[in-house]
Parts: sequence; C-alpha cells; structure tokens
Amino acid sequence: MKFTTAFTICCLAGVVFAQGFFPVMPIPADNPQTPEKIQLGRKLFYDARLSADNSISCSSCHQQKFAFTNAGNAVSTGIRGQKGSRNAPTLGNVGWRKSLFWEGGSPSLELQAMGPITAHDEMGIEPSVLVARLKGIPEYSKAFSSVFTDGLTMLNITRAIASFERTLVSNRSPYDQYLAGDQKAMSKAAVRGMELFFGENGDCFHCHNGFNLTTEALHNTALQKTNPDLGLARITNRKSDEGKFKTPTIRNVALTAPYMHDGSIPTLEKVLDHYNKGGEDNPNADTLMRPLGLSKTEISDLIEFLKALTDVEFTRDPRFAAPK
Amino acid sequence: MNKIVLTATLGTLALIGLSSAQNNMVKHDLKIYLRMGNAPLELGKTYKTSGGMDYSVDLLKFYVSNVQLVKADGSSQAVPGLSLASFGDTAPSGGKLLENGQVFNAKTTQNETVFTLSAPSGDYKGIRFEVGVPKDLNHREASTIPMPLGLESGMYWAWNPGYIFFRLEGKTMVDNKSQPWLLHMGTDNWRLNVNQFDLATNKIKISVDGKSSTTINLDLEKIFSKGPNGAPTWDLKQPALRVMHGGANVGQAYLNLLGAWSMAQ
Repeated sequence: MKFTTAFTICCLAGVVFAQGFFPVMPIPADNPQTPEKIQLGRKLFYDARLSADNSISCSSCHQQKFAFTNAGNAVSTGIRGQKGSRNAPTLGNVGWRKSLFWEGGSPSLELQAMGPITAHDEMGIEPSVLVARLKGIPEYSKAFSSVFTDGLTMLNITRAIASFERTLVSNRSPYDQYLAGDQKAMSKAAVRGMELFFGENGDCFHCHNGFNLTTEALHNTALQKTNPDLGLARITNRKSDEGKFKTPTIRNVALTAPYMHDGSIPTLEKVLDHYNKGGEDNPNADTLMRPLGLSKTEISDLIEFLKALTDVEFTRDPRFAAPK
Repeated sequence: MNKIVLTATLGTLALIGLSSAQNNMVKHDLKIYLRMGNAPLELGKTYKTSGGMDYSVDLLKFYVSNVQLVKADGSSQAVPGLSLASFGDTAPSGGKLLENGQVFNAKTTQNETVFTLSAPSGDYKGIRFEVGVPKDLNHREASTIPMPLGLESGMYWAWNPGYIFFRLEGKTMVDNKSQPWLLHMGTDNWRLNVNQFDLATNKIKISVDGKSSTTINLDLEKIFSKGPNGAPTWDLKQPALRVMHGGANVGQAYLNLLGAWSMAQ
C-alpha cells in the first residue's frame, strides 16, 4: 500500500519510484508520466486491435506471468501465423534500458514501439490505418483527447504505451531483499552462487552487473560457429559486429526461458553449460568467452542464485495486468 | 561619386537579374510508370519470376531526394526537396510538411507524380536523383519530424534509427500457401542513384517550361533479374530471399534495381 502511494506520487512528479539501490528512472521531458496516460498505455498494450487482423496485442508476446516474455516460445508468432526470428525480451525494468531491440538500434521506448506495431511478421499495421482505426473507437478518441493536447496520433500511441512500460518495475526478488539486509532471503546455495556470479571464477558479472544486472553492452557470446543473425552488424555493416547482441537483464531469468537472442537454448542448465565450455568456435567470439571449468555443484549454486532473481510479485501485480 | 553611381547601377542590375531568375523558376513534375517488363504493373496481379514462381506486388513506397537536372555542359541544377511516393498505400498528406517536403499517394501505377521540382526554365539533358533519405535527415529525431518523415510515414524503421528508402511488398505461393514477400531497403549504404541523362546522342531532352513533365519507367520485373550469390533466379521459397531487411540479398536487389529505371518514350 505504501508502495502504491509512493508510486502514484512519483508518477505525478514525473519520475518512477524505485527502491533499494535502483536509480531514479529517466523520463523523457516530452512524455511525462501521468496516471491517465499510464492507464491508456496499459489498455493499448493489451488491445489486439493494434494488429492488422485484430489477432495479437503487445501482451501476446510479453506475458506478465512470464515476466513479460513469450511463454516458453523461442520466437514469437505474429499475424497470419508468421514466425519471427528473435526471442521476445522481458519488459521488466525496461524503462532503464539505454537502447532497445537485440542490436540496440532504438534509442527510446516510444520509437521502439513502432517496430512490433508495424513489422509485417508481428502486428503488421500501417500507422495511418491504426490511427484511423482507433479514432473510430469513441473511448480511445475521448481518452487521447483527455491525455494529449494534440489528441490521437501515432506518436501519442507510442507515448502512452511507453508510459505504461515504464511502470513495469521489478525489484522485489529474494536477491533484492537480501541486498536490503534480509540475510535469510536467499538459500545458502544461492548465496554461494551469488559469490561465484560476481567473482572471476563464475565470471558472469563482467556483462551482468549493476542494479538491473546488465551493463547494456553488446557482445558475441559464441552461440554458434557462424552468425546467421547479423546482430549489431545489421546497423553498422561491420564484419566485426556480426553476431553481437545486447546483454539482457537476467532479473526473473528463471521465468523467461528459452534463452539467447534466438531462443535456441531451452534451459538455464544448458545456458550455463554453454558458458562453462566457452561457447562455440565463432570468429567474432567476445574476448570474455573462455572455458570456465565450473563443477556441477558450482553450476547448481549459480542456478539457485539465478532463481533468487525471481520477483513473484512482479508477475502478479494487478497494476500490470490486463485492464478489466 | 562615379563609384557610388556605378555600384548602385550594378546593384540594381543584379537585383533585376535575381528577380528575373526567380520569375523563371517553374514547376515540373517527375512522374513514374510502374512496369512489369513491357506491360503496365497491376497491383495484386500474379506474375512469375524467371524461375517460375508466382508473386504479386501489392505495395510500393519510396523516397526521392537529391534531384538534379543535368545541363548541356554536364553540370547540375540542384533541386531541393524530399518526397514520399506511395502506390497501394495512403500516407498522411494534409498536415505539416518538412521544408520542401512532398507526399504523393498514387491512384494508379501509371504516369503518377513522385516529385514536383522547381527549377529555372529551360532545356536540360537529363535528370538524376536518389531513392532514399539524405543522411542529414535520415537520423533526426523521428518522433517530432514532420512528413514525409516521422512515425506516420509508414517508412520508419524502429530497429535502426532511420527510414526504409524503398519498400516493396507482395505475396507469393509457398507449398500452396500464400506468403508475404518484401524488400525493405534502407540504411545509408543503400541509397539508390538513378541517372537518366545523355550528353552525347541528344536522345534525352527535358523541357522545364511549366507545361510539360518528365516520366520515367520503373520496371519491377528487374528486381528478380538475377539471384544473390550468382544464382540465375530468385527463389522465393527461401525465407531469407522472401523477407529482406538488409544483408547480402538486399545488396543483390539493389544492384538489380539500378537497372530498372529508364526514360519513358
């Protein structure tokens, strides 16, 4: 209850509340948070009318129960049954991400939203068609006029969705409680795993660090011997950038299987096996990729720590669920 | 005293000259015939690739920029402006526009204006332009820039700050099932140069006189004239050749497209 009150106050002040060692979330000056806009964005997020054939919404691929990922699917299914090529990332703490998409090409949540809405194999709708469609729905027409001085535009659709996404804060895991001083919040195995994680032996922390457990940097983690998905090179056209992808947050990672940019690794155990052997023989493999030599017990401890990053409240919080 | 009179006279003459040149600026439409080989393109009609695969073209949108009229001495008359031309889609056209911005929503595939230039009247030996967005505009803040750029253009590429320059979409049949195919060509590397000028044989003459227009053919059959990696055909059964957002296959489509433009008779 205290959290809800504080959250509302901070929303009105144009910032998003964060507890513990989370920094204040940056909010664009031209898109301040307001409760009405957040609710409008929430409604849009769960509305399948944002897709060309009214079949899928943002929430189809970003489901709260799975920390806003896609329910065990390696890649997402768009309109007309079309399969994408990448794994839907979690939206937990997405308001702090410095760039969006797996190759980090989008600078803001507002602009990022244009991707899935217009991509032919996702929601596949033309901006002009979407704006006209929503203008024909009185409740949207009224809500946009109330929230935005210029009413219903494509930009304002993305602004509202981004405002809702900025509320998706996940910071109530056992790890957060442990950091806040509750020594019993994590099991002994998870604590051992945490020490490995942040030590040179486990070597996870070079990429997964900070409050959101990501440095935001891009790496080639030697997932395969070749780079069928160009990753960052799709933007830069540099050979050396082929196969580089953004480091995802691993908060709620136990809920977000399968893993990697293409969803090709089904379990946490197999992810750790991949890193333990130093990845595949990829020409662009990151210099950090090397055999780790971790024992089965150590891998088990690491997995216990990763499970301690699960914020169950985040997956049940009614503020993030579909509006009734 | 004489110097003052001379300076004033020259100044007046210069102003008259400037005014005269401005008066001679006339509008001239650059138009496009969309073709499929020798025939006019029909949106939605089924065509065959050289490899025998069925496909249709349902939508074409592209940007035109950096337009230049070629003078008899080979030099260029630059024409400012950026236009977005849409065939099979309607882009918002009634609102605020970028300076020298233009939006055209074609009603047919034949003889449709894709750029209106303003240039000194006279005869020119040809025209050149780019299909794409100038680098200076391609990476500006997309959320606030007006048409023909911005989020409502239908050309914004969210994963890569910038715009699709040339967007071609249709359908094909794979295992008796209709599948979309698309070519989205963009990024600063894939700005297409169209050159239609002839200084030697006098075959091209563009009269900018406020009455006539210039029409160019765009033969979309050429898109599939040669397959990637030396392949003779374009196999639309392969997902990577059916959905193209960048990479080597777009490179081949780019090369094919370079030969798809010609002056209409």
